[in-house]
Amino acid sequence: MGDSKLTKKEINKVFWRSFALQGSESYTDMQGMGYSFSILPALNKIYQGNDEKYYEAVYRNTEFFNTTPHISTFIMGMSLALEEENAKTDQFETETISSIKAALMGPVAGIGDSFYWGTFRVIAAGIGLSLAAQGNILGPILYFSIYTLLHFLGRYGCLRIGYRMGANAIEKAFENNYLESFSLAASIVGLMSIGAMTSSLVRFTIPAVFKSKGGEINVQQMLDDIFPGILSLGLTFFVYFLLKKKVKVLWIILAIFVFSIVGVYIGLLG
Amino acid sequence: MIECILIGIVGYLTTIDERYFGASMMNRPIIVGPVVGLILGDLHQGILIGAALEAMFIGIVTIGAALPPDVGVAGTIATALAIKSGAGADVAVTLAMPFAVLAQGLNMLAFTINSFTVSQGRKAIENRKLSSFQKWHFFPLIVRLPSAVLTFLVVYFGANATESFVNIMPEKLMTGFTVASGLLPAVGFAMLIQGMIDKKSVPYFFIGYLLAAYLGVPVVGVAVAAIMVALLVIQTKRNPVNI
Repeated sequence: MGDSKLTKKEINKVFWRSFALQGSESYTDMQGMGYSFSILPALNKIYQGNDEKYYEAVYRNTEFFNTTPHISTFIMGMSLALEEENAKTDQFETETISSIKAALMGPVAGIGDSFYWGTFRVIAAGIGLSLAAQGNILGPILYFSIYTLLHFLGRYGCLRIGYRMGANAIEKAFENNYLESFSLAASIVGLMSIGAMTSSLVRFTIPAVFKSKGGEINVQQMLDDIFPGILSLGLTFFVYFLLKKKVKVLWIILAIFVFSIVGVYIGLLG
Repeated sequence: MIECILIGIVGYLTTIDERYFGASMMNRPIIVGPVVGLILGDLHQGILIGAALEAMFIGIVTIGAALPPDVGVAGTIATALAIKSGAGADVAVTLAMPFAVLAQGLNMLAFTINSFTVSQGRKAIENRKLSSFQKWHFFPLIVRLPSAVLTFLVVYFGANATESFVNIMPEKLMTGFTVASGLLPAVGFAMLIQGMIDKKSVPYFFIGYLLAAYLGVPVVGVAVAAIMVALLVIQTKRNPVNI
């Protein structure tokens, strides 16, 4: 990656900014805006002299994103390598970047959550607690030191590894004329992962039970028998349809709120 | 009074940790306990109570999109109340849970308000005002202030006085927020697939969905399956004869 543009300076900036990844976390976009905020100095460098693409990239990177914060930098590094490619040529499709991010966030979260929220924290707590339970101040200090060491190593290492892997992959794809296949693979993996996440993250159930002469009608049970999660899936595509009709996101969010609260008060949801 | 304000600030910082300090675990009771103990002049008790609360809360962590009870604010409040009243770690443990749930409600509120924060931030990018965009990213620092107020009030007025306040919160409204928190990710996913999906690629979305919904395959498993599907599709495209 002799011609890659990012230097240690931008990489370090992204590293420090990534700590604030979850600052503006919301239910609709999760870490989306934080992602764009984190990689901003790198985008600035990559798209020097091309304002059109620069602002497009800053905006595009606010899209829905959610993964383990500690090693989210892996995806940042990799996507930045792709952004560099996008800056170089006009043939590059930016959807590929979105697809790669979407494809990676699930698996990275799977690995990251089990290491950083699970294993590492529990090991640190195990060591720290045994001392703290005796009133020894070394307990909390050890706990924090062990965790922070692993945290910083992971966060910084993943950023560099991700960037290098991304750069290598894109270089190979170009050399062997694989770019089209690369984009196709990214969109397949991205969409399948998003499909799976839609099932696990969108929770829309109707727990209301209606009593009739013949017995009880359990609405959710009935719906699940037809198609599991049909409401969540339906809602997602309904919103998709509204967005296509240029309905403002804010209105959609407000409507969902009103619907949820009214639904609880009339006993339909809850 | 100054002690209570300081403790309020500690409570606030615990909610900020996961937001702006990279989930450094500074908000865990094992750390917060000693800090509160130090403020109240009883470091030893602080360490002990922090350890007891950490043991109780060890399983409560933020995984995926759901927000867990707020361990940081609860740890701060419980440690402070236990030390102030001269009670030990046992009392702190029983005190902590209701406040963890209450602070969780505040966090959910912040996540909701931030949907607006994000759309403001995006507007700023559209207008090419990136400094304003970055300011919006830090706007939630204000949205999170209620956690500081909550911590301060509870520690200042004591647990008994604040219990009635907890009961005022309309339960159905809280439930409504919880329901909305399950529905809102649909907006994020809809925006995400907007740029990626077309008639040709719709089946991939559904294969992923079906694997998760019918078979309960976790996202990592679906991603690995997706890589295999991608490899097959590309092979077929490159050498149609080999099918």
